[in-house]
Amino acid sequence: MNRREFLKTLGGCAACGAIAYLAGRPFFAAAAEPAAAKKPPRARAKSVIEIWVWGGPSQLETFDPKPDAPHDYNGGFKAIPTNVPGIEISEFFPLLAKHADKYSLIRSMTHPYPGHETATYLMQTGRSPGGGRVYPAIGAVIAMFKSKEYRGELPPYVILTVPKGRFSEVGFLNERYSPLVTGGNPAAAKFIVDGIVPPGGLSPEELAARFSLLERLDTFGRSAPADPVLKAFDTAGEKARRVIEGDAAKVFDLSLETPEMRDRYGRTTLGQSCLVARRLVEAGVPYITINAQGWDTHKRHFETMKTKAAEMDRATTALITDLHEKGLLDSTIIWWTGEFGRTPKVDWEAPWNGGRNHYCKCFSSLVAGGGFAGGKVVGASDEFAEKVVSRPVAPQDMLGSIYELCGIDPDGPLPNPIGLETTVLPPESEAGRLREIYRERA
Amino acid sequence: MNSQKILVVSLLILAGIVRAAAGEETFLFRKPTPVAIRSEVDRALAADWKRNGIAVPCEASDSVLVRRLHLALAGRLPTPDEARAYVNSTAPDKYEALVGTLLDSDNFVDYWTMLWSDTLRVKSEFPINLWPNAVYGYQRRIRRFLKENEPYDRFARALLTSAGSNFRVPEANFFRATADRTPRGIAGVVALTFLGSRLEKWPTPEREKFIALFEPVAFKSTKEWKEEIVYWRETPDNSDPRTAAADAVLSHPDFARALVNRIWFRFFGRGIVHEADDLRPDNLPVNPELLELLAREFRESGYDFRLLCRTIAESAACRAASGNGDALAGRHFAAFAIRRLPAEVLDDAIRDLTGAPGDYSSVIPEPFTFIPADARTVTLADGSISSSFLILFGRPARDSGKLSERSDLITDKQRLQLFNSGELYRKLGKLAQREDLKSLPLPSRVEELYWLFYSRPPTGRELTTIWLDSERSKKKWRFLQDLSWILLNSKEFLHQH
Repeated sequence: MNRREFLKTLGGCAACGAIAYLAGRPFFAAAAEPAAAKKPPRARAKSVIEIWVWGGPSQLETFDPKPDAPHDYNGGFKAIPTNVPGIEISEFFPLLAKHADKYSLIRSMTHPYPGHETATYLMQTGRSPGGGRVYPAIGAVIAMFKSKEYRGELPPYVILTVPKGRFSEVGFLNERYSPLVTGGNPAAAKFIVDGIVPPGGLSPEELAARFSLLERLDTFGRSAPADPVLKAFDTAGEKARRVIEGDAAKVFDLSLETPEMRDRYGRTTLGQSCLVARRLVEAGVPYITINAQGWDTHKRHFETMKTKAAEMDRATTALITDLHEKGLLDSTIIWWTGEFGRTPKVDWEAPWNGGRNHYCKCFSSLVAGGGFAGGKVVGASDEFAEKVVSRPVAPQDMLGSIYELCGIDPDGPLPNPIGLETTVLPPESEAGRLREIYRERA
Repeated sequence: MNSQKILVVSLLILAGIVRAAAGEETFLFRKPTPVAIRSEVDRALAADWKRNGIAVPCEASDSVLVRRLHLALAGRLPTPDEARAYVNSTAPDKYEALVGTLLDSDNFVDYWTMLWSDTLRVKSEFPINLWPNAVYGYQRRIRRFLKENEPYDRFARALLTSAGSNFRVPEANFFRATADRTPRGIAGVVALTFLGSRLEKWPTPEREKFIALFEPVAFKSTKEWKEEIVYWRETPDNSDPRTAAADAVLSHPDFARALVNRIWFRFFGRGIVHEADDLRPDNLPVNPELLELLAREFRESGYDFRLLCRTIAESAACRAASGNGDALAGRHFAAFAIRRLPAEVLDDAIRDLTGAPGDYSSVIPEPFTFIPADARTVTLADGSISSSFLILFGRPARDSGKLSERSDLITDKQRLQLFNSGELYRKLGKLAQREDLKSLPLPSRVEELYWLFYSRPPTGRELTTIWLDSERSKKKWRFLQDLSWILLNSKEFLHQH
């Protein structure tokens, strides 16, 4: 029996998730063939938009519905067909159902960490928590690699609108790859981006007058014009000023979009964040995260889903179709995921009143664009969406696929200022990266 | 403009021209005289400068020195009154007197507790995982070392020989505050902390011998939530493994050297050996005599930490003016290195100026934690309690205890934040509303702002520039806000120099 068959045999076993996860750890990987020195893969994606469904979205009410399961599992909610024959998703996503040819679904995400902070760390870094180092999140890693070609004025990693805050996202990388966190609310009358869009009534002329006086009063700077620290301070200041005064800030000005376009995304924080994300992609920003809040539905799950899913359905559909129409989907990865899913069996008792808890053994993600094919489903769960029954996908396989399509070798070295010899990711799991849904090159 | 105002403005401009004519800007940041060479340390510095063809630098001006000493010893800016008193004093020993006052202040204890807590990795969360109440026990123990000026060798021995519950024996948290709790990991932390060196770079036989000293260290949990006991397993020959480990560290020739080099780094942003916590035979000190002298004096003083700080603060290196990018002079401490203010110090400075407290949070529950609104950021015990501002400005993560964890890098994101954050705008609005400023006539208010931000009065040229500009501005209140925004974003405010 070779290793692949060994894994297949395990396919239906309850511990499958954990084993698939372990398969990615160095202990198992030691048996793998040594990776020959290879050059990085050719980049197909220029940008990544991560829709972080914060708290853990239920796999059943999103992309892995179980209409034939008992009421205690599906709550009476149904599946609907999509425009791809054979693929059904939850009835909570009617708009997205019309575009299944543009995205693929992963129904076999799995890992062993049911706590928010540990699961978030794992899903963002591909590394298990512990061991004494804080690895950088995917956004900081892509920001670093893409900085070589990225020439925009905005920082290469932007988060809309609040940080996850669970760990230092830049890890041990240089501070310049840490995210710009916008704050503010793009659905408000004015989207105030802390540090970029000036607050309260300061006109461009007034701002220019301030900069001018700042320069003229720079007595200390004139006393040490050749000091390297002060020169770096000036360079950073010029860059910052270009962001404030140049076109970069216009990225955040949604009044430049038509009302129809804004309606299409939905006038919610999530919807308008997706619209800003599309504008950031047009500006060339390599990595954009949208932290969608409110999905940790321990209580009154189904009531919450009615509103949350509706805004998510509208926003995600608008984002995918808008990028597609603008010819940007081929070069932009959309990655939709939570840190885990939710318990398939509903807790109807008080105080949960129909809630679902954390569930990491089996959950769903969505990918689109940037070299990912559309209209495919990876992996499958059992009749209750409780266990992965085929093709487990470990976090590092998902992250590794995104890296590969971005032209970053997941097995290659991760350059860092602390002199640590490490690869971008730990070795892929037995089932491996999502090569089956990489789009054929034209 | 009414006639009275015309008169005031004309007088101010005139005064400005007179002062400018006196060439005051030339000696704003430095005195015309070279820095005095008065101690053994100074002679070691001067000999090294001579060897390397570096001219003796000018002494920094009084307003620079009063600010520098407050930042280096107390981690805060001087108040306008403190700065004025120093600048106006004619006492010949005013510099030494100020060093003494600051060394005896609570601010010294608070600030250096913070720096030591960086080295000793005081944080609740991942990957150190001390958890809150152990953090506070540990941090108070560090504070006691500084408050009582406990001899450093005794403090080090207390940490190295500790055993017991993390809640009852604060020193035991030294061993718990290691991300890698194998003997190798613990030995690595001990080498970094007390010998300023990287264990992985040691020759193999010495390394393995050193690691063996920490083989007996073990941990066990109790039924009390988050309680953990550090204990030492018995050795085959029944000798005391704790004494053996502490003796090996304290008798190491680098024990005193590593400490003086680290503290030198804290003052100047650069060690006599650099990187300052990477001592090894092939990383030579830039001035070996200086390093040996400081280490010897430190040992002979009975490891008197405060005396060491005094020696460094009173050295010619600390009195020298900052330079203009001469790398050689910088390397040999003949020019004081210009560096961005540390995150916590900047946060406190903004709070002191505006009266608006910082906004901290922690991702873990801190059941025993209450931080009063008037607490200073430098007094935050727990590295896991943070804010986006502190993270943005490079506060160390306290994951490894390395000096390089603290970043004084300047980024465009930091400058964006200072230029344009709504939060800072609100805080600057509060500055303009401060009662002590509001009661002053306008010209004095400008002068007072300069003292607040820069610890000096404005020069004539600066006054002239400001008044000419203010006449173009329609709203007076806006103008003061403009000026405080400009001072806040200036090089002179944001750097120690």
